[in-house]
Amino acid sequence: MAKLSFPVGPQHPALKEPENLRFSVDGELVVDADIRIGYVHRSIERSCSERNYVQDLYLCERVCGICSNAHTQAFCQAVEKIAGVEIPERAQYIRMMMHEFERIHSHMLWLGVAGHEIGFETLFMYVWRDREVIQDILEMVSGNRGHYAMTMLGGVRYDITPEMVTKIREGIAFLRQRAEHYADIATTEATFLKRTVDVGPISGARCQTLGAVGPVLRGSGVGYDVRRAFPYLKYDEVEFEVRTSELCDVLGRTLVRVLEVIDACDIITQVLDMMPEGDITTRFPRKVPEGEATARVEAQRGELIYYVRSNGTDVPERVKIRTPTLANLPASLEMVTGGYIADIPITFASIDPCFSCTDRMVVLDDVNSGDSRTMTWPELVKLGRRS
Amino acid sequence: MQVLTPLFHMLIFPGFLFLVAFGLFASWVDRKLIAKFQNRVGPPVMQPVADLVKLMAKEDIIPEHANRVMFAVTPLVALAGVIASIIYIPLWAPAAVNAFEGDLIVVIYLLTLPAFALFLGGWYSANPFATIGATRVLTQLFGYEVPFFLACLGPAVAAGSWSISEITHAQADGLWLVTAAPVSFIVAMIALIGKLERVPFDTPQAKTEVITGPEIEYTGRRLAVWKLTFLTETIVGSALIAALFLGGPHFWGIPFASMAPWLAGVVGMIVLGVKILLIVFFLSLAQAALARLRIEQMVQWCLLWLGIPTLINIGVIVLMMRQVGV
Amino acid sequence: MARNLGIAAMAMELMESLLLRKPATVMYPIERLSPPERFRGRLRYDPSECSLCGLCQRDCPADVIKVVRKRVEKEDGTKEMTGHLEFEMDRCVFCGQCAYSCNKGSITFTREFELAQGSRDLFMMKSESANVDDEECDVDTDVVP
Repeated sequence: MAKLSFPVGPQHPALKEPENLRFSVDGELVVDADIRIGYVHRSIERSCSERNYVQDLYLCERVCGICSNAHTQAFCQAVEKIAGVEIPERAQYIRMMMHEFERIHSHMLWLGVAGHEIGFETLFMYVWRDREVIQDILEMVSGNRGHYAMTMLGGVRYDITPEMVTKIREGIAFLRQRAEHYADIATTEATFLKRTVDVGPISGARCQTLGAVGPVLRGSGVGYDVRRAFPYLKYDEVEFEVRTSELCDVLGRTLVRVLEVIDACDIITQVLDMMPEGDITTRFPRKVPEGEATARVEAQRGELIYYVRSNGTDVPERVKIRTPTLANLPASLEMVTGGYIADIPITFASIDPCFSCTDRMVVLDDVNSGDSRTMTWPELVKLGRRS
Repeated sequence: MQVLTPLFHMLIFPGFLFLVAFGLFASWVDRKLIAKFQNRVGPPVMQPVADLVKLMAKEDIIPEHANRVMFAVTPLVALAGVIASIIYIPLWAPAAVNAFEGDLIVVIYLLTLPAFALFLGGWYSANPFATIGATRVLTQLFGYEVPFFLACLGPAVAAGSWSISEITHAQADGLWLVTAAPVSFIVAMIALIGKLERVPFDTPQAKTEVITGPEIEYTGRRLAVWKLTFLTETIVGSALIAALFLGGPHFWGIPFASMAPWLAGVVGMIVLGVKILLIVFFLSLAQAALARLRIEQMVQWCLLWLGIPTLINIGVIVLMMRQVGV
Repeated sequence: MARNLGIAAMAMELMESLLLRKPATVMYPIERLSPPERFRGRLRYDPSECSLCGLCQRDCPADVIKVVRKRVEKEDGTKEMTGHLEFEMDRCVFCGQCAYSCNKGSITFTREFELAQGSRDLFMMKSESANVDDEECDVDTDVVP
């Protein structure tokens, strides 16, 4: 059969967000892959420097619907660093708890989607059914199932009451047991193994060269986790293991994620035991002093980096976001090349892509000329269509 | 009358109308079962009918670059092939509507038509996904067709006939041929999954990979015809397996011979209906419990684990027949 | 062999789901779940305590709230602030920052969640007017609440 080029996306059932992938295939084998991003560019970084810090908090929260808490956490961390504000201990523990809640819900969401991609609808249905437990906990604690608005500058918005603690403990115990069950399924179900073992292979060294982060990196045996390497909040006080897998394939990434759910449950239990009484917020100035800071957190998809520069007003001068999906894309293209067409969806899904977080716009101009210019709306539209 | 009777058989009973009605019901059972397996509620009983009506009312589009004739004709050929094959399968006690020595081969041939039609329809749709799906249809055909044929050979050898009605009749005393060819029975069931392109062998139509593959460009009435083809093929395929291995309309202890012909017919239909629904239950269970295989895994697995065991099973049957001295 | 044990375990779970479990689905319009205490549903504004300070407008990330103020002089010579709030509720993201910023507790979120409307115009809301004495409109706006 002659070489055939076919597109996946911008509209394709395997992709949950619009993005265009192009594949050259030889029979059932993929010989070349390319990606074009930019379909859902929302210019959030620019908008951040138009709004004040309180408003930016909610804007950053909406960078991603799944890892919204990680984004606010990173943003607050950066701004608090510039302002030199130390948040109360109890607030730190509550933030940590939200962080882990979110990891559980995100990884379970991912496992369901992975099941869907390989035609294992029952896994999808079961995982998402069980995920309702963590969603209910999140809703109880923060008032919302997504976009929790829990992390505020200078602390957290809501406190955890003793009744909640009992409910959280119950829910977490259930989720831990289910996660163990899914880890069993993932390692014993014959058809699941057939679709994940040796699919999307990439070595740990190659991952590091391409700058992959998070479960993709750990699934290839490199034990890098921001929570351990650069502890923030109170991560240096809790015990957890950096989960890695030497399998370097989709199964490895799956296992890392499922085991991280178990770890997250354990971390939450520890946090509940350690949490001191006290305030949950501290006063935070509206005008942040001049300065700049970066913050990194281990979001569910990998390392998330925020850079904030302040000019002394209540509006940041620059906010730069490096989302984990962007870091994982080069690795994902290498994973699909040389594989089967049938493996494209699951391989791409295995990096847990979130494309709307990823889209950035870069215009290369002559840097040396020193000219500045304003782009008009029609110019922007033209640029969007071309790239 | 001589013209009307075959027409009645083709279009009303046991042909088109009956098959479609029963197929829609079985499809509801299937969907409801999967929903229950997955801890969901599932659709109401008229849902498949509503889906069909909706498809019928939709706009009918033929892609600009597609081959109009092939695109339009293939779904009808597929449906016709399936409906024609029901004539030779015994649905009630004595025999099928039409039977002759060798109709088993005809039915197997007719049941292969949908796969070829799907391939051609996809190939002429002028869409890369349809092309990939179409090649997968053919590749998969090699995977399941050989084991399916070999599996059907088992009962034929055991009963000593190439007529489905004869094979069913041989099981009238209640000794089903599944006892003689257990491996062939299991293989036939698994191959049927491949024939119907259901999970784990739904690779040609995989929606996350090739977006329903060959059917991608079909809309409206023509898509409805494709859906009907697979609905009716589910019934015909299950009825064929029931007839070959499970005694068709016969059941141990029911004396069909001493009954009035109409009563024997009704009871036989009910018995067969239950057997078909049991096979549908198995199909649903497989769909719920398994993930989709890759095309090359499917072919390899089928030939190794379906092809060889059935050959051995046929060998065993032949040896047993020698021993008994038939 | 272990590989097929997984299929067996899955099949067991399927049968359990078929025979023993009730569907996880909540048949929504018939069966209703009650949202938790902290749920942020319909926004509720009570003008009686409002000091028209404008913090809610300033903090709202979606530009939903507009505070319209007018200073009027009363007959006895004292000044009074009068005004109202305008809400473009179709833009609201239900983050709850306005309620959090408000010192007077004038904005609250109820647990009502069925907020769909047939037309965009129905989301444009104008509150009743609020009146405040002049001195009261003096709040510390330099600290994030």
